[in-house]
Amino acid sequence: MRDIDFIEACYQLQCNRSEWATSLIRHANRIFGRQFRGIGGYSYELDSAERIHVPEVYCPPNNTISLDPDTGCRPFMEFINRSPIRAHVVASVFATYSERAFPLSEGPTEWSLPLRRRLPPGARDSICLHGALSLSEGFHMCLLAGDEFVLHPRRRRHLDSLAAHLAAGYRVQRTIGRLATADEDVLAVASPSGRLLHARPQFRNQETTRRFLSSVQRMDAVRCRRVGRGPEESGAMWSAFVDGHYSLVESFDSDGRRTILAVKTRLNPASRLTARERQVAELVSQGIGNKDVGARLGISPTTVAVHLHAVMRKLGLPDRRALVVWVETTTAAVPG
Amino acid sequence: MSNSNNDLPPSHGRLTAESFEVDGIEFAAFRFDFSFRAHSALTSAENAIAELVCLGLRTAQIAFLRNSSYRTVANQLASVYEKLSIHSRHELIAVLSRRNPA
Repeated sequence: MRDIDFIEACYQLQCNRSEWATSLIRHANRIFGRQFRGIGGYSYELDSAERIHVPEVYCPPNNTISLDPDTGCRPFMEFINRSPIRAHVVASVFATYSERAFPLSEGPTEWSLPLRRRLPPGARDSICLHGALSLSEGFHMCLLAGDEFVLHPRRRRHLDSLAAHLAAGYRVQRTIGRLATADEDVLAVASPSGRLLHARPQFRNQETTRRFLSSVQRMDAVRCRRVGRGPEESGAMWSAFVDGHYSLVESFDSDGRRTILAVKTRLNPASRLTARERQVAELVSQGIGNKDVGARLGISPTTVAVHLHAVMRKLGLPDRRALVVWVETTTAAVPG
Repeated sequence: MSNSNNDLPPSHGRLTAESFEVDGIEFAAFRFDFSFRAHSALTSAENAIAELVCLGLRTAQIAFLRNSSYRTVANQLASVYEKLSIHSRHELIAVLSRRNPA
């Protein structure tokens, strides 16, 4: 097979994603003489800036997670590297089968650096491959370039895997931005050799969380700069936490002292509201009744009530009075 | 729902905060002079809420932090009270948290 066939196949089949992938995999199998099975998602951005989304990619034949690069993605990545795709993959994690949740327009969540180094000079950018292992199980584990992968943190097995890695000395290395649906930032876990694991810092499995956090705490030597705060500043930080400027990661006992780990959210609490909800909240907080608010905004009083209910729910407010206080304090906190 | 606002206890003792930064993301670690004992009769959500109550948070604040509704938290808290046969936040703290000698 000439590489150009591969490209053409890509174009021909781009309107039918699963066929596209089947073709891709068939080519891969022909080249390597082995059975690849692929389920997952990634997308290419070709030089012509045309985008092709591929719903299925390679995973090991036995459909299990393989962290060994030799039996994992590497052959497939070599295959990709050999092809003349002067392209970069703008894979957004999980993009293909949850485009709404993880919009591609957000851009790449993470570039695959090791792979970028392997690309020939002149290649415009890197290839970043995310493949989930089993769509049928709703399994969102993603492989990146053979030596990285992304975890779907709600999956128990991923967490177990993460825990195993943490126990084996992997470190939390850096954060890599945010999944579109999540309030929390994503942490990346990396080994000294650069293998990356990514996960949101919110785990249901407590043991995993504990290990994850102890890993966070071991980071001092790497990049983490700890600053102890004085009593006043501590109190201010606590207030900020209570007011929702941090989100709770986990609480645990360490040395008999209760410790709460929180991550600063970039989200202003108010940003949880939609524009309309904010509008309604402001008017209502001025003491205007639902009917008049509705008249001003040109919507029915019932709709106003619905918006208001959403505001209360999102902000956890018990009544209108609390809403007034909330609007006053937030507008005071953010002048202009 | 108004019963709790006046009896917010300074339960958490001395608070020390640390902040640390990992690639531009700011974390905070708050440490308190008490330890919290999860109660086996409570669900994990109830335990989580109970702990935040022990830290002196109000229901609305807990709801915000947990991204759930005020009523959910209030109901869960009521269920905690019922399971532990208690009637106030003070009692909850007495049952579930232990002040450490400084």
